[in-house]
Amino acid sequence: MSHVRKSIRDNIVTTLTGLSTTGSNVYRSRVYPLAASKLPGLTIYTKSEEAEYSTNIRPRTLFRTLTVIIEAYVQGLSDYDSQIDTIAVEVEEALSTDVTRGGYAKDTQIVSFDAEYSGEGDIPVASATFTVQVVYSTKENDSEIAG
Amino acid sequence: MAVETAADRALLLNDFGVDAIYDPASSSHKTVKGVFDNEYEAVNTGATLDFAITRPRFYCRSADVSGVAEGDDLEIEGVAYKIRVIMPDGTGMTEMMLEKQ
Repeated sequence: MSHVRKSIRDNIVTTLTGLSTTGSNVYRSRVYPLAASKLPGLTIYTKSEEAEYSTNIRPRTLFRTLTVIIEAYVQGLSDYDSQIDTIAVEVEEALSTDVTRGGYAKDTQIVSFDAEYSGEGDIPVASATFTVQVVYSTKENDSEIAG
Repeated sequence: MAVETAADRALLLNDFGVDAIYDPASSSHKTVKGVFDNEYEAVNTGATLDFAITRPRFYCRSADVSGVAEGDDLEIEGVAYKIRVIMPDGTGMTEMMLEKQ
């Protein structure tokens, strides 16, 4: 067994692998730069989480809001902005097919989107960041079972 | 103020430069000599990861590309580029940021 957070992250990686534009270029918690051969690609990180204790009786229930960062990376001479929006359609629709993330979560919401561009390289590049909040709960003495 | 002459600059480029075919939209093409840099660099757009991509630059005498405009074509070692940014250094040399086609 593993932390529910890992199960949610695994679910998102599986959900986003094989999309039309990014295909198998999906990287979990990647730390190395992305070369052109890995584009267009997606990276997935679970960077932060907030928790609230909802009961007083032990073991208490923890209501958690996990922030998942999904980033899209593309390169193109002129259509990089359209590539980003095509990927956005695919990511948003894929995530919405099961907002319980395989039964580990109560809800999944995309709460923000940001795009950035650069012409510093041989071909223009762009990245987009989807901030996704996943709400789930566990008992304080068992982080491996969602409840 | 430049301390070297146009001939000095030409000598430098003869030693370290490569031939490029400069093809401006406004006139016919010609061969110019310049220093070509195309190293891999980490480019960050603000996301978590850097892009590992090449960063092509061409450095030549300003007089050889007088009237150069963004969007003009440059071919170096068989690879076609568009000139995207023109950066004259004020001493008779010009650096150009290139986009691979």
